[in-house]
Amino acid sequence: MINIKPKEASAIINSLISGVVPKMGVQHITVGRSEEINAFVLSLEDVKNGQSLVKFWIGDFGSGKSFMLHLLNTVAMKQKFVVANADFTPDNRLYANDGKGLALYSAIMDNVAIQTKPEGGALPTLMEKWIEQVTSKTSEENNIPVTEIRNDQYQKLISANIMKTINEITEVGGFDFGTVVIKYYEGYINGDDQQCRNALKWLKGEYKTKIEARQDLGVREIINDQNYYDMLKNFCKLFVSMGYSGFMINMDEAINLYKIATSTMREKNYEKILTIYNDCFQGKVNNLFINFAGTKEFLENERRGLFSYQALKSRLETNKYETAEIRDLAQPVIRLMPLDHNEIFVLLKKLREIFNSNYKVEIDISDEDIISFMEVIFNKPGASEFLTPREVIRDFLNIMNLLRQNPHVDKSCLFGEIEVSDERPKDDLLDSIEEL
Amino acid sequence: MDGIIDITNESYDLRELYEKDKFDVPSWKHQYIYSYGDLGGATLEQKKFYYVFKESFLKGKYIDLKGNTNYAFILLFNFLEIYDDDKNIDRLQIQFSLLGAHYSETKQYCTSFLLKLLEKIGDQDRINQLKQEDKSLSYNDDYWKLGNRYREKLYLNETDVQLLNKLENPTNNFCDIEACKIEILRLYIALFNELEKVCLDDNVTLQQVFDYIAGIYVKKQYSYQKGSVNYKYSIEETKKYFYQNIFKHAENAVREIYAHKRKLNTDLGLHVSNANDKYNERITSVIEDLLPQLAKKLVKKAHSDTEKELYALNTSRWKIKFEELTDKYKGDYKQFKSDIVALGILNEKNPSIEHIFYEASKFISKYHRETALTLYIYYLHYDLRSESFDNKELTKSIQKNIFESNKQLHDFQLVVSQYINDRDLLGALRSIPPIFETNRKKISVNLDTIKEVEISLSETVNLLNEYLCDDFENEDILIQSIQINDKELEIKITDKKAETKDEVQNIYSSELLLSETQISVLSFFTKNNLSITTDDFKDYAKNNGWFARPIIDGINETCYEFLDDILIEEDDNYYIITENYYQTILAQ
Repeated sequence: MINIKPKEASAIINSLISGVVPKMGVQHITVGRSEEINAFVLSLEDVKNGQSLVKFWIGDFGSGKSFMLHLLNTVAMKQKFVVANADFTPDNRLYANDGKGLALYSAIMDNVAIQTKPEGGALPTLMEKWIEQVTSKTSEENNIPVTEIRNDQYQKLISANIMKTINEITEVGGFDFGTVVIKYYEGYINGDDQQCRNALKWLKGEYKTKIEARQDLGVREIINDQNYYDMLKNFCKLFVSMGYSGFMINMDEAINLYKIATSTMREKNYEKILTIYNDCFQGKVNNLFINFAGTKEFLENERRGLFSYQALKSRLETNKYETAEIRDLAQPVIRLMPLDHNEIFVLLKKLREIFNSNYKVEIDISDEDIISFMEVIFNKPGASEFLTPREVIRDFLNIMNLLRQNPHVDKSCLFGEIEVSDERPKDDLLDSIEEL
Repeated sequence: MDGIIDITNESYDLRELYEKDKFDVPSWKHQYIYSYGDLGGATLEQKKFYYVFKESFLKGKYIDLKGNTNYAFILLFNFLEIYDDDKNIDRLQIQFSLLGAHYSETKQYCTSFLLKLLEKIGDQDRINQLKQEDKSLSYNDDYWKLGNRYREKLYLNETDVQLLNKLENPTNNFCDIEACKIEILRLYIALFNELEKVCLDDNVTLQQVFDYIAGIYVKKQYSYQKGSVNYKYSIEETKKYFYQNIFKHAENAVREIYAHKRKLNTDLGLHVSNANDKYNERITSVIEDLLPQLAKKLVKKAHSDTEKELYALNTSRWKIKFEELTDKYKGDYKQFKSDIVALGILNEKNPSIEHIFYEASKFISKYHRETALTLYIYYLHYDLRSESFDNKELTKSIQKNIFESNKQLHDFQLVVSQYINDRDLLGALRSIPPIFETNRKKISVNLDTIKEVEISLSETVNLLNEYLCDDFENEDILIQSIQINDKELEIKITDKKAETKDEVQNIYSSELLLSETQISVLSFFTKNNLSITTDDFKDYAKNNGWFARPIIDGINETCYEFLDDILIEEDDNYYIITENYYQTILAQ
């Protein structure tokens, strides 16, 4: 009998039928990823203990990169990490001087999430939580009642403590950061929502000009392409000081860096990755966990990929003693191999159990039926090119649903009606991108 | 009796060649046999059959030759040659008697030759006996006349016999096909009778009309005195043209029905235009009126043997039937294939038979590729048997219709070369369907590997369960560490909930360990029907000295493990608690 909570079973079935990763119960479907998960949880412990890490999750379309990132998110949030996700797009990147770096930062800060706000947008909650901690500490240290500490006369005291805390944890940009947080506090105390919004706008890097920021908040500097990375490090320290385990940032679709047309700009971006990598592994920053997800092409292409940048190539090259059977998952690059038939079989068996548990039924699908289903779907036109586990699972669960509601339907007819569709993103030929 | 006379210096094992009582008589187009040596002009198959036929005859089995009378005539001359060696007239008489009895076409000849031999040896008694037995026997030129020859076969009366005897033996290829000739003769007789009726309607006889027209011609052409011997002879000779002409019309009608494109020239051809005109007026125009309906009514559908002869005669005749098949095609490819194969069988003597299958393959390629390739193999089959092996490939556009990939094309090319090598038609046809079958990948799973994967998954689930279960940070437990001295540290754990004055009644599940603040907030929600605007809640929190969001966040964290979800949701400008979640957290 399967040991799974009813809510988890329901979440799994409903999410997978829709083609998305379930928000709970995901541990039950991590077939074939044991080694990667073991490596990840060890990494998480290391980051909790003060280390910083960078990991590259490399796999082609359908290999489960997004699934793994989602799993990382779920586990990290449960372990009291602050998590942020952002996808690289043609309009954002790591290095720029036209605002695209800042756009990446804004995307990250907009998506900051914690366990109770997993969907993102947790920055205001975190700021208020931190301000409350400072306020409580101020009230304790100065023996001022909690109910009175927010009175006007104590505002300066609190502002001073806010600035003191900021200075303790930040290296660069601390003064303006502290000023903005004070502005947020003042806005909150005085019921000035606009001021609170302006303060959040600054923290998210949404001010385009210094003049605007000065007018609204009285600060001289704004977050920009050059200093956003320092702000991320500041936030990491801040979150840790609040009691969180660390700050995890996941950046997917790294192929968009590969697609940068100018080689100079592309190299600058790879240089940024190198900077982040060095900061993390040389101990210049603590409790920071950065994950990049991309394809094999993004990593290994010697003309445009990460391996075209020699410094990164030497750091990221595969352990030369590694084989398909003996893998080194401690290295920064973790390759996600496609699930083999045995693993898919186990996964479908598991889903059958979860489905039956969820609906309290016993659908008549034997192990042999599962193999027949796999044979049919893997022999459909296009299967070898673009069939993904997502589609296999979705079709399997749809068939289970039909059988649940129509027990007398012929299974082989249902299997025969399966069609495999091409869900790959419509990328232009990568190598035909014009080199400027 | 003597054994087989081998004229080819080859010997044949006949035992397995033909099954007993089942004879497939190789067709041998009728020709006049003049000696046993004419067997030399036969095909190998025909020769082999002849020896079987002869052996059977000698054993008293009389194979139905199905109209292929050449074999019987060869046997006749074969017996004559044997007689030449041993002069056994008794045996010859018996053989001829049996031959004539079972193969009636030879009867007259057998009797004629026997009579000559008997006369030669001076056996008058036998001669008289023979003549006594069959008074109709006489070997003379009249035998060859059409009426005499077909008297019995067509059940002719004397008038019809005489009518047909007026005709010259038709010597074209069409009439060489016995069945065609018979139809022409029947139609001719019927046509003649109808012409007679039409003339009688005008109160004249056909002969009177013929005499009149012939008289115009003879008078103009010759200067014979009317009634003279020359005049009468010329009239009779001229009338022969008329009979011949009517016969040609009848033949053309049969040709038309049998889709034999070539037609005979039916111009009368007399050099006197008056006579021609009169003939056309009185005879031709009537024939043209009568003949189509009469032919339709009387001419029988050609038997398959006749069709075979006709297709052999006119090598492009198959196109008419082929066009019919393609015009009526409505998607039944199986039927189309059967029809083409049947058409092929009828064209087995057609030296251009392979073109039928090639064209059929091209046509059907648009509709059913397997059938297209099957018919193409048939094309090759016949092409290889033809005089020159053309090995025409399917055009590129047809290949595109048929083959989805180069692999399929390549597989078919292998089938073709294999067939050209081994001529195994059935094998080649069987190789076609697999070309289009996708090579199904077999999914095989390894039980040991599956067990390993399942164990590994189980371990991962346990590991992740640990990481995903809530540490359950309790805001109401205060942990204080107080340094007493250098060596001692006092750690004080205080349950905040215990210290509270418990002013606010806790109606919620004890598992939750909600703080007083949190209970107050929930009461506030209860008073507002579990839904409060964010602004109102901010004011409420501020009035109590709290920050709104951390309070909400704290309650959600406390309730998360209990509910597996957050309790308070932020929806646009509202904080909302779902009713069933609220019921869940209440104390039971």
